[in-house]
Amino acid sequence: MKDYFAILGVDRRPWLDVAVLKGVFHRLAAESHPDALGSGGAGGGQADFVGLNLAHRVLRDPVSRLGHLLELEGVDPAGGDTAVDGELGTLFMEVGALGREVRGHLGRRNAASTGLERALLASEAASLVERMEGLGAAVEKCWGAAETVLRELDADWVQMRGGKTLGGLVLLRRRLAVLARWREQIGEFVFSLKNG
Amino acid sequence: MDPIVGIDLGTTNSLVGCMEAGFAVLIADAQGERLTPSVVHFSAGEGVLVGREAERKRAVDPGSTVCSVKRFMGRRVGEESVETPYPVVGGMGEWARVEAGGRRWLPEEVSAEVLKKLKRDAESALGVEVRRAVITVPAYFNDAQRQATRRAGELAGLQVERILNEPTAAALAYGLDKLGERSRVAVFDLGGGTFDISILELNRGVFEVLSTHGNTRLGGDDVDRAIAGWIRDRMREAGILEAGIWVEARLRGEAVRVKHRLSEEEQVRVDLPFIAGDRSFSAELTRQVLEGLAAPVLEPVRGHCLRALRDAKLEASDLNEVILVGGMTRMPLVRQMVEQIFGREPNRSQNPDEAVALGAVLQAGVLSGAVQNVVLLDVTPLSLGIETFGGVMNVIIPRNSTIPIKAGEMFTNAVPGQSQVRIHVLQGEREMARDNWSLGTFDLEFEASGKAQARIGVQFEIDADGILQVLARDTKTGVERRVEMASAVDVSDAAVEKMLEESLEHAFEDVQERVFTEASLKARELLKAVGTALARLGDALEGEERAGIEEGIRALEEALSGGAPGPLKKAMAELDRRTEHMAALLLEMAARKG
Repeated sequence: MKDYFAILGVDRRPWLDVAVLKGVFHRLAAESHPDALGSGGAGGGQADFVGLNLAHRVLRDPVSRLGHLLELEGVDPAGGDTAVDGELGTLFMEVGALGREVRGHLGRRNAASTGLERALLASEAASLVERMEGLGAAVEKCWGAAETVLRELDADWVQMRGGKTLGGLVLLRRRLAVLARWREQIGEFVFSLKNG
Repeated sequence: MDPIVGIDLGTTNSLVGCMEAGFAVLIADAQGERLTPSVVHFSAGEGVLVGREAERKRAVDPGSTVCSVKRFMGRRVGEESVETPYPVVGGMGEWARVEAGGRRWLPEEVSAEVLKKLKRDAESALGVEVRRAVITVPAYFNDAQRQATRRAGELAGLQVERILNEPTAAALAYGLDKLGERSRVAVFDLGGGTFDISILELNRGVFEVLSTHGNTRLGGDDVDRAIAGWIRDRMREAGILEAGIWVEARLRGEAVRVKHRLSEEEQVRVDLPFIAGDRSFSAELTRQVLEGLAAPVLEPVRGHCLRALRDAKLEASDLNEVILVGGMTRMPLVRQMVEQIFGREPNRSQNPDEAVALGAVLQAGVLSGAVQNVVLLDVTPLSLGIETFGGVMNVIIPRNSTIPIKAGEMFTNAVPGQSQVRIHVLQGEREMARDNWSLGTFDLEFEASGKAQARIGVQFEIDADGILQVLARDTKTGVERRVEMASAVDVSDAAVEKMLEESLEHAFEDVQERVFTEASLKARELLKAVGTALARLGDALEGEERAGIEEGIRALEEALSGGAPGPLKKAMAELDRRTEHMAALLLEMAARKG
């Protein structure tokens, strides 16, 4: 399997500065992009760039980065205890319930064919946005906490590269994956409520 | 050295240029004009006329003069509903064709005539044969539209070295003299028929598109149509009821003229001498009235811009510049909208008509080596996926992924002994497969084996042109082969036959009745909403307004019991209009609360 850390020439570790990573990607892209080689030039350009592109996609996102790191270390990222801890469990219920409410609201709004019908839904939309943003703040807090854990595990990793860290990374990756999905969903709901 | 030209193949106008001594230069034709109207006239006697000559035929022979054909590139019949003076023909689900000069033409054949003219102009200017080109397309063009554009180039005798996105090209023209800087820019590109918004990061010669969004059916043409509609209404009021494609063509021509003038002036005179026999028509049109007509047409750009920002994970305040391109950005209303959406005055340093063509020339220069230290990293505007169980679209390459890109997918047999599986490839953002564009289908052959024993890997690759290539890989031999896709709505396809059958069945239904039933459902919803709104607003409503609304309610109830769809729709529109102010009040209340 391909080592995306090696392709981008960065250290294999759990945490990476994505702004720095992007700089590396741009520098290497300027060298390997098929256009940069001149048309009809070296045929390997496209293949090299596609590999670089995939490496950047995987490493810039903490969830896929951790998954890739664990696979490189011979650990199944999906293995281990699959239970979700208490705090996330509560959030899970809230995101699900509010999400259903928003979907119902958006469905009614899409069905509305006159300005008046849409205007009647506006105050409901405003209160849904408020509640959704409140929930978003709670999820952001959890995400921030998970990122702190990521930095801690990263420090441990740099020091010892051990089995203990790997187990922690499996759990953290799962947590980040769940939170990332909620962040995306909540962002999308708020966007749809605000912008039709 | 074999030159590569850059071509902007626009809805309204097209341009060609090439690199000269390290600079991008646009080429003028024999008349000294750089803009070539994207108009083609087909006539039995004079053969094919292109550009300005064809444009002149528009008023006298509109039925054989094809303009704005870009709207039909890569489109199937039923996908595009714009009215045209020339007939658009074909069976449901077939590629749309236009009829002119006694035969049917694919849109790419018409575009090829424009490209041939540009090729000739370039050849006379350069003194050598031109065989290679970079051609621009709207960023939001899908796979079929891109492929049609490439075919147009090939039909014109050009090897298409790159299909380049228009806003990306404009960004290149803007950013070439700022290679040392690092910045984030949005390119707002509103042309004759299409709208694109792209957000880019410029970093020392790398032009990385972060996100793009748009609408391939929104542009200046739609504003022209609204103006023409306004003129027609005024004519009707004046008792001029003349109709027909010649009248339409003149109205449209006049609409374009006054639209242009109103970008500079506050008021112009609409003038149509001898529009109906010996009767002439004229009226005053103010910029304010024009803006009232244009604003609802242009309103969707707001949502596209906000979506592009969200996909780029940026706020408007993170941008360093918002660059305007496309002829429609000359309209003051458009600039105001941009300023309002992005909270900053837009950058008008680029010539709105020429920036895209200059960018195409620069990209041609990148490909030939004449332009160094520049690389464009573009994205695919639409998610690519396949249809899975239950008619759901399974995304394989999400929108705004940097291209070129590849993604693999493994397929297996669902039942023992199954020898093949049909894969349906889709493009779009909707959850259900049927709501997205179908790019085609292909069959994968399995060797007979037990359930889930066969393994075939398929690579979906979007190349630097944004065009899909599908490769199937035999896991045993490792051999990859290109998979040719069949158009998913081939005329012989059973699905289309079924579709046709259904439409025939519908034809026997009482259409009037169906339309009335649908409208009456909406009318009842509206009545319910009005009731709720009246209760909620209570005394906040003036007595006169309330009386007006109540009268509208009575009229609608009456129309509901009448059974005819025409009066029902009219009554609905009337009540909708009478409750506009009430809707605004409700929105205000909601905003105060929120």
